[in-house]
Amino acid sequence: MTIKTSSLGGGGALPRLAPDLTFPSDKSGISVPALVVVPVTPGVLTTTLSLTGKFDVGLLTYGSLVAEAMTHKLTIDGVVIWNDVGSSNTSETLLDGNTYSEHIQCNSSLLLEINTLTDASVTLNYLARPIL
Amino acid sequence: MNVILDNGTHKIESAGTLKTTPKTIRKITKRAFMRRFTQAERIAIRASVDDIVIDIHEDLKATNNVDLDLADTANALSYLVSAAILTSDRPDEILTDGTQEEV
Repeated sequence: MTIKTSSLGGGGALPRLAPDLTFPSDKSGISVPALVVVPVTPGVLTTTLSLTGKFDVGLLTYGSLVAEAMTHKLTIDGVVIWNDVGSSNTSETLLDGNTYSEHIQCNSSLLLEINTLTDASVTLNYLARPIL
Repeated sequence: MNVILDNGTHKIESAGTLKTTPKTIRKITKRAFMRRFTQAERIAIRASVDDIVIDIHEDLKATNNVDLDLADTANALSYLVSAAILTSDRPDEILTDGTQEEV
């Protein structure tokens, strides 16, 4: 009988969080969602989030959007995952780990970009946890 | 690109800037807490012969820091209002967030 390594507790494919030793006294750390305010140039692809290293990402939500057509592009480990123009509302949840138990992982890099029609400033709420 | 985190193995960057909210201070030193009372209020507390006011004062003297979120703190201030040492608007003023100088 073969037991897959990933089925064994603490090993295999299960992500292991990197230490975040200042939590919870410092809640501005990496264990809680962070909010970035991003100036964007309409018509130009702008990087709202760039991760280098191994991360577990559990939340990607845009806010303060102009409701219009815009492109959301996501590249993970060099592979383009999303790249489409869609009609956005004033807020767009691209990834909500709480509601749908969705998490995505990158092993070396993640790039989230946006291209708007007229919107010149967006906010991105994200939770990116460094993993080992 | 603005660097949000760089610990040597993991890096987070964005064209935007991280919006940070200042940490709320809800524990302040006893001295800072007493300074939130007016001189007349402090004198009235010390001069009071009310057993509960005396107990509140003694309890305060025995502590180093005051937790502004503690129910006991709010209850003590409410009692000081009922004892006519504080006016009814003072508890809210006294329980406002602390400053860096008060910790």
